[in-house]
Amino acid sequence: MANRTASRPANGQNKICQFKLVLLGESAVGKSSLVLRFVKGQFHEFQESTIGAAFLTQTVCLDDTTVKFEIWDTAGQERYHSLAPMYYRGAQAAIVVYDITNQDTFSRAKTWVKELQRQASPNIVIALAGNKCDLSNKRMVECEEAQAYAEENSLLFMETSAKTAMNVNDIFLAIAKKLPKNDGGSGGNGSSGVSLERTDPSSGGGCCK
Amino acid sequence: MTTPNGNSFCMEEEPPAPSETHHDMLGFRSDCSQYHHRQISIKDTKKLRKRENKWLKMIGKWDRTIERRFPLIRKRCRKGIPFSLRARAWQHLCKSDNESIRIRFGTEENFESYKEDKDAAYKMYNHYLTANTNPEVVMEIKQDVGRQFPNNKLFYENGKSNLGQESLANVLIAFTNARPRTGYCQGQGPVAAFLLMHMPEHEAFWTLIRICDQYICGYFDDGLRTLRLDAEILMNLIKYVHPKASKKMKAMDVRPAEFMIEWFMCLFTRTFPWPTCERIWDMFFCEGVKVLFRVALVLIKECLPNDVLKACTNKFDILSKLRSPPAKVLKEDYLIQQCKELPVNEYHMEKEHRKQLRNMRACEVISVPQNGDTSEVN
Repeated sequence: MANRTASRPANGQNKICQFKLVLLGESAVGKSSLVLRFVKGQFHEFQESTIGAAFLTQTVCLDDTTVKFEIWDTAGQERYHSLAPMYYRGAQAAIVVYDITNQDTFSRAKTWVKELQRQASPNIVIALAGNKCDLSNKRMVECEEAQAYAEENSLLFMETSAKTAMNVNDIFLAIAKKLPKNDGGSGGNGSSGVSLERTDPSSGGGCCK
Repeated sequence: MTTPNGNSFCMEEEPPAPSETHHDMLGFRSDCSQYHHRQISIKDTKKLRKRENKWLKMIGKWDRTIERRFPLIRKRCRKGIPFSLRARAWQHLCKSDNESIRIRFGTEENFESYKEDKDAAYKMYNHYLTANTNPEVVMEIKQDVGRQFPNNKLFYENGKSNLGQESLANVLIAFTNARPRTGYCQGQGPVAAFLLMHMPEHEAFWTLIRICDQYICGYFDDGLRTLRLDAEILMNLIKYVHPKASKKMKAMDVRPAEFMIEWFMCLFTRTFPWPTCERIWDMFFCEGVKVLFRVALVLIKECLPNDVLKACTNKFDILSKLRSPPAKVLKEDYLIQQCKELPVNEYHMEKEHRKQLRNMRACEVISVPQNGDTSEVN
């Protein structure tokens, strides 16, 4: 899969990189909502369940590089598990999502991380997202616990809220920064990216708030 | 609710629907894009009455008609079943009407006492509904029901959950009890919800059972083996319809399961506007799963005309195009006409079915139960 591509346009000012990113996690933790917030800036209280997987793209600007994400938003129900390898095959990045109000979803997230470490590309950048952090009064997974797990496994980690947009752009941006961007090849269409430097004021802040 | 593919029917925020909102025949709010104005002219009304009469006559002597005049029924299903008779016709076509259910299931274990009962279908449904269900499954179903069709007054009214949610949960719970081997799959939700927009709970339940037993047998089973088989069949049928697209998709490593799962599993309820869905279902109940293949092939053909295909430089370009069909193919009359004109017939479908089944079996290292491997291509 030659979808990790970088090219330098003739004018030399901007490099374009294309990356495949996959979202994994238990059903109803907010994978589609995170993507919808990131790609369209929207949030739907009643996001319908994903069947199979959905495919979207979004571009972000990073210093002199334009990063184009090709995002596979997968279905969380266990029933679709057999399809997952098709989506993470060849992915350069993954976001494993859990719901901070549900301990089971955190355990499931750990299983996904293990599966990725074992079966996905060896250099895959994995981020762990504790979503629904606007519901911190119902919290069941402590931020420190997830943070420690992430550090042990060298994962990026943030608590996010698709509802308030907190850390949503940031987590994608953090992944973009961590991805290697010096591979040769060609690709990218040079479309102007969405600069993540000017994010929604409500989305600032670190992880453990 | 939006699938982020751009062709779905999006609603901006929560569904607060104060006071004088209008709803269409299927209960969709006038401010959402699923809402459908059905303006019927006098000429159309006359045509509609004529059609209704024809359908009433057919339903009156159904067994004889289906046995001797199937081509006539097929022709009329392709023209569209009148709205007022659609639910009854669907049930007769898939044999989920009360009488068929009583005869088919009334002799089964647990149900012998209902053998002669006129309300057998209703009572058997209640039996399944009240059986013991794994509480985790119930929770899973209830969680999903809350995010199903928030634009429709059956499920949400004035921003509050409505009766339809309970009915939907009931149908899905009864289904997992009746078909424990299949169990609950999220793909069943939109199908059951669409049925509930047309018929009461127990009828929707039996129709769902018949769809899953007879039409898309195995689609929802663990491992999704049948669906993956049909995905391969579809991929190989493209060459008859649009050879250039077939070649390019293969060259760019586009996998059928990357775009067709939602189409097939939800029977297109998430792809097309409702009037178009109804027409697809009219044909589906009559002719079976091959209708899904036909519709999918038309979609591929219309989403990837030669000039668009030429401009696609990688697989993601192709997948993006497949997720946003052009407006004209979403219109029922155009779609149905295209389906009829497709240069693919049963012979091609059966040939590919056999071939892909052989391939799949050859590829399978681990042995898998054999039950789910024959989705009907007839």
